[in-house]
Amino acid sequence: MKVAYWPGCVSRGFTPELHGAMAAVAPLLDIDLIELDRASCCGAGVIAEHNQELADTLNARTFALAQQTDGALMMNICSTCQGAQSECQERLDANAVYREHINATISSEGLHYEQGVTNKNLLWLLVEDIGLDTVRQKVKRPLTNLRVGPFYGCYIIRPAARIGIDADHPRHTYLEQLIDALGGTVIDYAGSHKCCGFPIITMNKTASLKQAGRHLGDAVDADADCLVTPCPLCHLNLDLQQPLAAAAVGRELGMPVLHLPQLLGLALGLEPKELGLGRHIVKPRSVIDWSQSVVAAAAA
Amino acid sequence: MVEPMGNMPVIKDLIVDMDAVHWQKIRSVTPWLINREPVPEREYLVAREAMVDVTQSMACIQCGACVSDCLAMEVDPEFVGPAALAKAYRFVGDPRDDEPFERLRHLAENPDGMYSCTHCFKCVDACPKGVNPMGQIMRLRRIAGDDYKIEDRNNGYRHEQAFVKNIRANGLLHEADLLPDSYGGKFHPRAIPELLASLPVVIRGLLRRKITPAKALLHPHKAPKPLQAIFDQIESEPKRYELNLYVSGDDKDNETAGAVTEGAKR
Repeated sequence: MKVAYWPGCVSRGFTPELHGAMAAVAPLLDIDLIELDRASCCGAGVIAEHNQELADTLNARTFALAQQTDGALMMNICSTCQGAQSECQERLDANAVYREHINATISSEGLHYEQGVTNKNLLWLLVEDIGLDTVRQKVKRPLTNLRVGPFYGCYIIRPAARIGIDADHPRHTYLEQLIDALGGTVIDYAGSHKCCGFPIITMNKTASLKQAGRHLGDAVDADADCLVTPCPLCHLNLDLQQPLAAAAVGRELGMPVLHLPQLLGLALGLEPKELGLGRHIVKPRSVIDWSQSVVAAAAA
Repeated sequence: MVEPMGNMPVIKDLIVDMDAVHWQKIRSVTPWLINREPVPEREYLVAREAMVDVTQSMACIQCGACVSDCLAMEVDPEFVGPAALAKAYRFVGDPRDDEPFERLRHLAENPDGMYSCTHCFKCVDACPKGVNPMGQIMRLRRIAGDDYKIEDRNNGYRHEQAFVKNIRANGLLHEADLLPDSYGGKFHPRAIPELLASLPVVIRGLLRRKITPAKALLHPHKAPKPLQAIFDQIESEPKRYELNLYVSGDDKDNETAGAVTEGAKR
């Protein structure tokens, strides 16, 4: 399956292991990535907060670039990109006069956005387009006995109407379904659908770190081996800032946080190193130990 | 599961003390109109769109569902919260109000004010009346930052400016610049303690090759010229051009839709 691929900024910035893991996993799932290298940041909600027209124009430009490719749809690997882009798309698709106003701006580059682009996070693509049965068949190293807590990121589950959650598309349950399909044990804990706090890290650092620390602590209490997230911005607060989050909530955490393609890659048979697991701030020792014990058991 | 509302003290069983949290926060935003001077002899004349716009926050029935669900308030009980901030927009957005600047300055400078909203959309989904509290909070920020240029002590304005500047220059976010710039720049006295506090994380990031000095210091991406032109064109417009779906409706439900509201630069 060929997709116009929007990796986002942070996967090529402070979470480079995410971009690498996606590149490693794609061929195993027969996903052909056409990277949108001329596209720009989605604005992460901050540009829309500054100037809505600017955010809508940047994303219309990205959508138009995606529509120029022969990809079946546009795919992203970031909850925040998904949410920010869906918000802009809602306005662009709702009103023809507004859309043409925005199109006039991007026409200087020969671009034009046609109403109704399909833009899906990898998680949605896995469940809705590739299908969990296909994913199950491709699993080489089932995540048996690995206790995984899902962490969605707000932008990919709310607001439910804009994100397209309905009876046929229970997108707020896809991570649990995927962990299960990969053979892992789903850990139910209080923070799975809550906010990591990252958007206010420069404005109210204490509250931001307390949010991250509380969810990580809940996952520790629920005896999770690791968390998995489709959002690199959540990863920044949950992993990169984890030492500070631990201090903010006054307890030890040490909870590894995996990117979605990393967890997927492990189950598809890739090695922790190939997936950049060594690049995390909180070393995912429990996950690496688990994968080594699986290899040892297979050899025995 | 049936449980008492969140973020409010439980009095008994399912009964919570809404006065201690919800009403106290509502009262803190001066929830009444301060007449714009001079008060006209007859009625104020205002644009229809402006009033339709504030009816969205006027639809609030004070049920407290958004307060109950607010994830920021869960860790920061002092946060003004979604209901009160939506109420604040009801007056900031009302062309008859005389003190939008004072209202905004107060909410921007408050360490638990409008910049403590984490953008989690919980209130949007919780509201049974379609008030969209988070959307109103984003409007408060937009007007405070873009119209009044209120440089608050919480870095809200600086963060927004730094982010926009960052994307205009690089096309993609260059995180290594965003943090110091949000505090006023690498060498700003405000930035130094923040950068020092982040040092253990930075060192670990370097050791794990998550961050490389070259990537942090150099700018591997550069925004293409046409992208910079988009920023320059839109930023130089005398008025912000905004589509408010609450006012304009959707093409699907309204054949004559097409009315685009213009955000008034004040």
